[in-house]
Amino acid sequence: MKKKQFFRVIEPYLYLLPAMFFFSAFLFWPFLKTIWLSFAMTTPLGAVSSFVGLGNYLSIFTSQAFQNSLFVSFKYAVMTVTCSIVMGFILAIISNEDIKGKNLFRTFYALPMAISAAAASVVFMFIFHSSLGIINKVLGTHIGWLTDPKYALNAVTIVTVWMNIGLNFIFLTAALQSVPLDLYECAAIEGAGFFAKHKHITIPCISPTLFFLLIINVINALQAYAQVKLMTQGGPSGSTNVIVYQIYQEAFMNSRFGMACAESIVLFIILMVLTLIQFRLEKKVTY
Amino acid sequence: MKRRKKWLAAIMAAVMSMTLAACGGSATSGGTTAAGSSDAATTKAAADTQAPAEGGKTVITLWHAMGGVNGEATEALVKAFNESQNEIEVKSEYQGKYDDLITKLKAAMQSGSMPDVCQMYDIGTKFMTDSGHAIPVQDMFATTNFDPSTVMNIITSYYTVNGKQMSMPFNVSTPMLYYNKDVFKAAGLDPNTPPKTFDEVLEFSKKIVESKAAPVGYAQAIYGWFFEQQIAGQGKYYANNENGRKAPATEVDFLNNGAGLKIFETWKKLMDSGYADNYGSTTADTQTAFFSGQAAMIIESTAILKTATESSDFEIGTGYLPKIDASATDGGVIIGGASLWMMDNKDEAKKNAAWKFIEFTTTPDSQATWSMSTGYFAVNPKAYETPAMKDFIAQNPNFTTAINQLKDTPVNGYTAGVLSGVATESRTIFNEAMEKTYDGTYTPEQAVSFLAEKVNAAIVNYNSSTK
Repeated sequence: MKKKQFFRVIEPYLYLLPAMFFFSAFLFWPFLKTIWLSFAMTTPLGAVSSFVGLGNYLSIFTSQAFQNSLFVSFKYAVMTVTCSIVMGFILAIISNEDIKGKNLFRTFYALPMAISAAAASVVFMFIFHSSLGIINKVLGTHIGWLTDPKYALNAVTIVTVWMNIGLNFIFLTAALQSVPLDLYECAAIEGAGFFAKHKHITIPCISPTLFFLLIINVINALQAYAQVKLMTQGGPSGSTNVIVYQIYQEAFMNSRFGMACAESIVLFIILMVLTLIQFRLEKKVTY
Repeated sequence: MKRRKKWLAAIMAAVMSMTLAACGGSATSGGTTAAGSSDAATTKAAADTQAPAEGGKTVITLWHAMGGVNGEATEALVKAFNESQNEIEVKSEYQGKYDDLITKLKAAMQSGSMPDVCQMYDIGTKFMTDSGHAIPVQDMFATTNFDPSTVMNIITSYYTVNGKQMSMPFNVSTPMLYYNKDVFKAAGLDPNTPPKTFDEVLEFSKKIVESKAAPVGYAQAIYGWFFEQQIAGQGKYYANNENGRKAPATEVDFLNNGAGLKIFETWKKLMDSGYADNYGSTTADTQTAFFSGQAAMIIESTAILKTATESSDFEIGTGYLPKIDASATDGGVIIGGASLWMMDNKDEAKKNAAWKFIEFTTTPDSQATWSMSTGYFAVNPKAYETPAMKDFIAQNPNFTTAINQLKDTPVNGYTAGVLSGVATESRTIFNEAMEKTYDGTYTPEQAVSFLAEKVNAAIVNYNSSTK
């Protein structure tokens, strides 16, 4: 009898064990090691050469490059998240109307999702090329989309928005379909127009989805890397040097793993705080 | 319906049991390996020499960073070596670009899974030397009576640290001027006289743009390598302690000797003239502008000669790297490209095999084939005496530019290039300094001091972390 009781207590933990093993090996251990390394100075091979206490943290906060990368990342996050959610929403609404070839449009809109960031970046590099690119040809301009600090971040944003729309579109389309139709019928009877209908019914009804998308889009934006690595390498003049690229450069180009770890920890804290704030807000803004 | 569900369940169960079986299988084999490696070191050494043997051959791995046309040439070279004898088999693995390769090698050094031969770009020389994982090639010369003068002195000088040749130059390139002969003709310029100085570059660009022969006269990628080249071209040091070769460099020299400022001023003036254009820090974008006929002149590595000839439908001309300071006499170009390093895997058989492969790459025939199929410079001067190479050069006179440019370069501390542990970082900082000069944020003076200050900080950090 006692034996059975004991088994009952430990049974759930046994089920957790395999997952915990993989989590520990691939998440917890690297995380702890990152914290540990963030207090150290490393040799070019990544071995600890001496401990510097909070030295790395002090130097990243006085480093202009790091401050710049935080600023760039936030600017980038605000631009990509707003644009891709708004555009995903507009496309979802349009393709939710009763029109011919609805499913075809839906497939088209979701398609960019299937393209990897690397492939998209390479294609857009041709599109943005200052003398051969189609954008300058069409506009009749001579803008260095990827070489002029005024435009480079916008160009990277455009690519990211294009890539993210697909995912946002799918989630929002699904959400739109779960909005009860009778609400719209009621509204129609009361004489609500297109905009009033969406403002007062659609948006409140899909607010949990919007909120979910907001969180994952922000996290994605702050973790952006491939586009920057391929299209601009953080340049020109650091104008596209987002935080993850800055970390990559610090670790793998400059071989200062300690500094890179300290920067990762800062990114982690920022993401955690943002997520906490968003969850607090969720209770207020969604139904 | 119900029936179908049953079938589905049965199939899923079968799949699951198969996966389980697979897991069980790997667990057992994992166990055996663990047991094996826990044995005495002697067993391990024996296992190492036995394990790679495939039909009595010593198998060694080569990591390289050669893609595209150059990658095919590398594979061909490896194949030629494997077919030339029957004791050693080289397996070559492409690891991405130079920067990716060094990152992977760092990881491999830590996990103890290094290749036996590794290609490494010029600026990785200091890192490789300091890592302690490399066997200096000079230590192997005696084993096969290799004559060190096989390879040109100007080339080995770059890879010589503290008087010892660390690695074997493999793909050697220098920057040179590429120009569009058709555009030169259309602009009324002599298609056989490329500009020799940057003053001439400006003058020619003006003529090209004003005669509407091409929209852009001159373009050059933002690339720290070109900056290093122009310092050597002026006969000046990049860093103190004779470019870090007499003793580890402790600070940059280009700030005090004025070479840096001259470069920034010249390039800024050229860009501001409106006859030149900037396509950013990705060299491929500048190449594309040239291949498509947009830009009439570019600076590029001699290594893209083959690609350039294949990618453009106009006649290409080549010239020496234009000079910033026409009066500098003891300057020249620094050799770039990469060399082959022997990694210390504590295995005598592999070590000897690795050296034999490296030695093979330096033979006149290997170098001639390699050079003809890539555009890289042949490190063994005898390669130019082979009949195949002679014919080739007669048909492709552009290849002679690279050869003559290197022959005209004096062997000295300036042209040996800087030996720096922070070369990659310095180039990134250079990009920022140059970009900010082009967009007007910095004056050339501010840009040079910014660059010097940042590079100095990196050098100090490197020196204290490797102490």
